[in-house]
Amino acid sequence: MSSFWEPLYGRASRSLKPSPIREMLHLTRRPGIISFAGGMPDPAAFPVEAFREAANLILEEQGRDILQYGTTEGYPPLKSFLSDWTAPRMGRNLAEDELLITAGSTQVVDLLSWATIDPGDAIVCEEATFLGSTGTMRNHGATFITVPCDAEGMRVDLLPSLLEEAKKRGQAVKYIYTIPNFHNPLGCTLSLERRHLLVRIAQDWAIPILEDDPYGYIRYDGEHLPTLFSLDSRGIVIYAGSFSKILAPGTRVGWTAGDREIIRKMAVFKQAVDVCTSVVAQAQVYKYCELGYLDAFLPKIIAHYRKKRDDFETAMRRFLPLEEVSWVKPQGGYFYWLETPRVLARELFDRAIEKQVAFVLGEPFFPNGGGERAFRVCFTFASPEQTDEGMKRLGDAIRDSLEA
Amino acid sequence: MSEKAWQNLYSQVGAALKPSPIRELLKLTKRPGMISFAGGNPDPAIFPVKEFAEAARIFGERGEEVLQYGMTEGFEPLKTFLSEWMAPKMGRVTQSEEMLITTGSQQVTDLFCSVMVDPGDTVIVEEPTYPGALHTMRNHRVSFLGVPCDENGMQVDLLPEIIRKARAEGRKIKFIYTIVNFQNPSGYTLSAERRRRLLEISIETGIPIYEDDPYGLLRYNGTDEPTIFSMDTQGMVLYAGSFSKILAPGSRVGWVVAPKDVTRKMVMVKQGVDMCTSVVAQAAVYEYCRLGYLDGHLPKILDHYRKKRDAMAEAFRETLPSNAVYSIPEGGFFFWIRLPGIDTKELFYKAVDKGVAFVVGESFYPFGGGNDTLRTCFTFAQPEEIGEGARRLGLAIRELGGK
Repeated sequence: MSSFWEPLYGRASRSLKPSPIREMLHLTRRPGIISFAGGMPDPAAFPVEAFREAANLILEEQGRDILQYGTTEGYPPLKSFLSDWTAPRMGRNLAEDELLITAGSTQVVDLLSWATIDPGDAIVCEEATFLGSTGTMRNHGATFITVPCDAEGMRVDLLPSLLEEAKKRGQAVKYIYTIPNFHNPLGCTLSLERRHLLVRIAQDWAIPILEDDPYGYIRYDGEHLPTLFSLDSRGIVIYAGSFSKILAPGTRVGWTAGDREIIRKMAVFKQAVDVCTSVVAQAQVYKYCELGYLDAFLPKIIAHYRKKRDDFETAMRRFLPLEEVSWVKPQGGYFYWLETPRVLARELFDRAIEKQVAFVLGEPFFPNGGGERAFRVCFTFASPEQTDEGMKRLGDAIRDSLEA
Repeated sequence: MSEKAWQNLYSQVGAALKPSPIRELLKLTKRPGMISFAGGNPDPAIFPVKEFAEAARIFGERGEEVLQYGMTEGFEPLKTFLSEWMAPKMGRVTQSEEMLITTGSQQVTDLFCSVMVDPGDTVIVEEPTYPGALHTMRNHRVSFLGVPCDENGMQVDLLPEIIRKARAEGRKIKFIYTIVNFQNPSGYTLSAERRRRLLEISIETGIPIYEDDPYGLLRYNGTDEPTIFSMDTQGMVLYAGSFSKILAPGSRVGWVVAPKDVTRKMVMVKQGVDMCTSVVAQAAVYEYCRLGYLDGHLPKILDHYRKKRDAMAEAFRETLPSNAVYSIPEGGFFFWIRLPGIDTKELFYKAVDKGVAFVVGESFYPFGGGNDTLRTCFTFAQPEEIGEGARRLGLAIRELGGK
């Protein structure tokens, strides 16, 4: 049957690869495996009852409106809620036409890529970055210019020379993609000084920044740093936010804020891809927020994950060979990034799976290669007992790899 | 940043992109007092609000599961339900690997194009056809080939010659897009004989069929024609369905059934597009179906829209000039009217002045044309508005010389 289809597929779909993480999730669902792999929230932290109440209420109150087609730009009450609620971090209220509701923040990357990328164009990103985003960009034909990172995030000081080189090559750079807070997978946070510098460079070069900030509200210690969006007065920053980590990913509701011109363009693309984000889901999220549950639950979610991170840190110190593994303690988010200078992560992975513990290899996060001796572990999903047991197994696997 | 600064950054598609002309015209229809036959919206009065609210109990019962990230392929209980519920139309119980839940059927077009289309590739479409699909395909830089339609749908007999000629010109044809039942905008239904012939041609030429069927379950009289999918044993057909018209468009839940390899590829594209369709929306739709409300409510929807269609037919018989050409659709949402000698764009402004709106026919043609046609939707306007709207439309037509 597929013989009919094979010659008909587009070029892009011949190089389509399933997301390595999604594929690995199948593996890590095997019984007995302790998974530090997926970046999923802990279902125990979902406000199930509050969401059910909100869902019911809004259907009773607004059923006819929210079962109808919605405007592509998003459910107006949710937009006005977000404009107020995000104002402290955005530096101001957002106008209606600066805000677009999306199907999670994944869709923000897709829409912006539709609007900007021709095959061969370059995107600037951290040397290791969220592979879902680079996958989406790659589907649009993007190539990548990667910037090294350290404990303070992207080495922004290296950016001008990288942009110069691209210019000399005649390569168009369409936007700078960065995850400034509690980076996925690196766990690092972009320092204040670098934020200022990054915005200035973007302005000088007239290259927009996509500030992907799904974890920004999930900070366990230290002070919030200002968003790039709030440091910019020229409309160079496009901000992407999401309810996935502060409420629940199953809603698939996210948003993007930016210059009117680009928001309008993204909205026209959105018409073509899904008409509008599920109005039912948007309205339920809105009601949940409006009833005060977002503010009420967020401290609980933060406390829940802070404890998990601390349990993780303790377990790592106790069970891993500290002279062989290094990491930076994340101040928020979901991830630890572990570097093992003397161990190849790919070999370690096989041993770890044998011992029934899973993580995500470093390599797929590097769009231009690298990360062979590093990997990501997620601390939000496993229970405390699993964390101890999983770390014990991981420590054994590292030691075995060294001896082999 | 200035508009010009952005222009430098846009992709070719991004730079060429314009807001759809229908949307712009629709803005005019929002004036107070306007009777709108324009948009293709369901009637909110028939939404099963209470039943859907009851279905939200699934958030309490399975909250930890449905608030989590879902499988890209879709919420498995909903897929199982659909494959059984649709079996009579599909000719068999389809397998899970053949089906993907999508964010409305609009997304099917986007995903399918991502899998199939390289810039410049050709897609065969009906003339006229659904502009939302044209918009999506244009973004994928599709070049179109049109096939004219008559009362029995796409004039399938013309296809072999169209395909032969296009191929002789070196064009790469990727698929045939057809809305088989109560087509948007024409209201036509592809006859059983043409369905068989279309499938034969598809197999002979190796060009797959994209059978888009959002209205198929909304038949008000006559008997259902078999889906092309059900006639196919060669894996040539991709079938797209939607809850938008049989439940509520605000759910944004649709589905596609296709050969496993094609479905798998669409799944991979969807991972990068929205990860998965809103699980809470899928779960609520599933619970609604499981409680029996889909089957329970569908006859009410049919009855409601049948009456509205009849009301519009009756009103048009009384008010439209005798040279207006249209037929009464057996299902779906739309009347398609041809007014020989009248420019319907000019008519649009006149009609809007009189307080009635429709969609200009030209919007439905990939290469323009259809200047004397228009589409009216009978599902959205209230019963008392239908007669008055038709009267206003009749007046506007006569002022432009319609007899």
